[in-house]
Order: sequence, then structure tokens, then C-alpha cells
Amino acid sequence: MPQLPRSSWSSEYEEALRALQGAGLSPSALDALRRLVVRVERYRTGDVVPGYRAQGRPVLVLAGWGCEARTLANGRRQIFDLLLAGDVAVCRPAGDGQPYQVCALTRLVALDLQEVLGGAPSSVSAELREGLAERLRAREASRYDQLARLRHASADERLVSLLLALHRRLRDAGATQGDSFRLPLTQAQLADALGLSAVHVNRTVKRLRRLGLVEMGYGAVRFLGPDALDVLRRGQPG
Amino acid sequence: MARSPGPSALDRRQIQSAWNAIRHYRAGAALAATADQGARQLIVVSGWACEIRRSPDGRRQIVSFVLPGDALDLGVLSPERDVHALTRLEAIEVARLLPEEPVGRAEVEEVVQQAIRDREDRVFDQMVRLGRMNAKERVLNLLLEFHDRLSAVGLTNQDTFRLPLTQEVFADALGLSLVHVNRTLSQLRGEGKIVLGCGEITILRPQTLAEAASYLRRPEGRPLLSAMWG
Repeated sequence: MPQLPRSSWSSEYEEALRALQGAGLSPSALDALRRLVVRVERYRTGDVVPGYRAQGRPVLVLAGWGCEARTLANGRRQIFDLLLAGDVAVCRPAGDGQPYQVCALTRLVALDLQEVLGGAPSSVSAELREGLAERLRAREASRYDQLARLRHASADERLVSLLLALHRRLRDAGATQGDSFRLPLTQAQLADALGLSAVHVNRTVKRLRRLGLVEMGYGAVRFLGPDALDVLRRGQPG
Repeated sequence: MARSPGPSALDRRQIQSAWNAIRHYRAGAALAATADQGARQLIVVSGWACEIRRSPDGRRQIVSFVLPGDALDLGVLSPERDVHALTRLEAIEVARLLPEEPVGRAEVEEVVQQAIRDREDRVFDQMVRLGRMNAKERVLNLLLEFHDRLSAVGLTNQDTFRLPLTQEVFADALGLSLVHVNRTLSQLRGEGKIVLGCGEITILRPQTLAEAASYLRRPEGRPLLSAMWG
């Protein structure tokens, strides 16, 4: 009798499952996913997650932070969206003419979804498939928020609106502590996400702290005082 | 960079046989889905449109432009996301074009799906323009996009094409003021990069400019149609 491959699940990936549960996947589907994980892909900061197939390859982020980004010939980079544990992204193949690549911003663990769903019994794969497709659709909204940020907002507004969006996404995954959350990105990476220079981000971070709104440092963000979040929400571009 | 359009996925006969299924829109009209599921997908045959998104605070941004040869899925439109005709526009329902035999049908469906995905990918180009480009790069980059897309469907003559956009729409799309757009266009003209006149624009040496404007060329695919009606 062929032996079933052993699951290589690690407790490190539970945050991804909490995010999926927050998005409505049932405990039994998540349990099935846990068992189905045989092979994970590990990437280091800066690595590109390969796409292989022409139509792209869907992956689930199990741990770490990634992004969809394009690097221009002159070295400038624009990050289109940040990928957190529990997010689904379609990796594009390498080569000219691709609109973006998925890259690791920290150490990143990813799961090839076609591989996983291909091995799933049809009773669970339908729910997983639908739930993960829904995750992908949810990210489309965040892409358009990013467009609005780049189109309309000042540097202060861009940073605040990104931090609020991250706080909301992480809170849904149970990964915030009150008004604080872990933000393992460098100011240069934030600059690429905000369409600003690193110097500009640094100045903006300092100004927000001086205004008593947000404190950033040591890999974490803290909204200062219970009112700060409200003040920021009212003043933010959308 | 002027490419001669290769054989298109849909031939003249197919388009002509569906001629009575063409939808006409006036400039300013919103393209809306009909209740009929089969009529959700459209191919734009002539005219220009743009896709607009509204953020929760009511601000609007132009996400991308819709040009002849583009395919659209109207099923994804909503009050927050719509497509407006910028000129008179004609479009054909994909359902009316599909061949009867399953093999040909699957092929056309696949080409249309790819065209819809390609169009939706243009939001990334727009983010790069707004996030990482100065005024001159933004203007050039968008002009090069128009040039490339129109030449793929045979709507450029050498490197000249019709540009039926008001400067307001152009400025709005690029996140620049009208004055800034005006100044940038005359700069580009002064540098001998473009020639403007009579609703037409000529891009001089687009290949060289593509590098300067970090323009991302897409791999050449088969266009959905070519400009036999032009």
C-alpha cells in the first residue's frame, strides 16, 4: 500500500490559516489544507518567486512578506501590492513584457496552489478553490486603493493610508496587538510601495511621530493613543 | 517600432457576419452590462473609452484606456468601476462572433480571455507612471502605449496616429495639471520627439524613446482584429 506523504506543516504558518479563516474558510477546509502541505517553497529577501507557466502560477503565502513589483531599466522599483501571510498571488513567468513579478521582502514561505489542490479530494478542493479565488479577488480592491494613493495623496496621506490598510488586513488575521502591529519592512521598501524616495519616507515618519500620530521603529508600528487612529482615518484619502 | 499587423484572430468574414450585432455608444456614454449573460463580453471595433474607478471618498481615477481591438468583460463593472466612451464607440458582442464548431469556438474564447487579461494588466503601467515617473516620462510612456496598441491593430500610419483625447482627460490620467501637460508636450515637440497637429500625433523614433520612458513592451501576440473598417 503506498504511503501517504507526510505533511510538512509548521506552526509558523498558522497566521496564514487565521487570515483564511477570517476570510470565511471553514475549519475543516483549513484542516485539510494543513494535511495537504507536503512541499513548501522558501525564499530569501529579494528573491523572485518564479511563475514558470505562461498563464502564471498561483501561490499562497504561508509566512513572511512579499510584494508584486516592477523594476524599471533605470533601477527604480514600484511595488503594486504587499503580500502577507494568507494572501494569494499569481506569480508571472520571468521574461520581458511581464507586468510584475512576485518578490520576497523578508524571508518568505510559499505554497504552490495547483500542486496542493491537485492532490486534494474533490470534497475539500471545491471549497478551498473557491475560498482561495475569493482571496485573490479581495486583493484586486487593494490594488486599486494603491492606485488612488499614488494618484491623489500627499506623502503623509500615502504613508498613513498604507499603514491603516495594513492594520486592517493584519487585524482580520488576528495579527495585531491593539493599535500595534509588526512591520518588517525597511524604509527603502516602504518608499517603493509609496512611490516616494527613502529620504522622503524618513522625513514623513518623523513628522507623523512629532504630530503624535504614529510611531514606527524596531520592526513595528504603533498608533499613538486611541484617538490617533480616528484622526488618521478621518484625514486619510480613502 | 511600426509593426505590420499580422493575421488577426477574428477575420473580416466573422466580423461582417455579426455586423447587425454591433452596439453603438455616444461620447460620454457608460458601457453597461445587459442582463443577458452571453452579452457580457465585448470587443471594441472603433472609438476610445476609459475605465474609471471611484474610491470610497468619491475621488475618481482613470485606470486605463480602452482602444479598438480591446476586449472587455462588462460583468465586472459596478458603480465603483465603470467604462465611459470618450468618443463615439462601436463594439461587438463576443457571443455573436463565436464560431459554431467547438474547436474554433474554444480558440476564439481563449484569445478573448487573454485580451481581457492583457487589458486588465494595464493598471500596473498606470501605477508605475504615477509612482515612479516624472512628467515627461509619464507623457511619453502613455503616448508610446497608444502607439503600440494602435499599430498592433493597423491604426497607425508610419508612426502617426489619431489622438482623440482632450488635454483634460490626458492630464487627469497622468495626475498632472493641464498647464504641466501643455508645457511637457511643447517641450517634447521642441526636442523633436513628437509632432502634433490636427488631432494627430507622430512619435519620432519610438524605439529610442521607449527606453527613455521605461516603456514596457508586451510580447507580440495575435491581435483580436485588424483595421479593415478603417
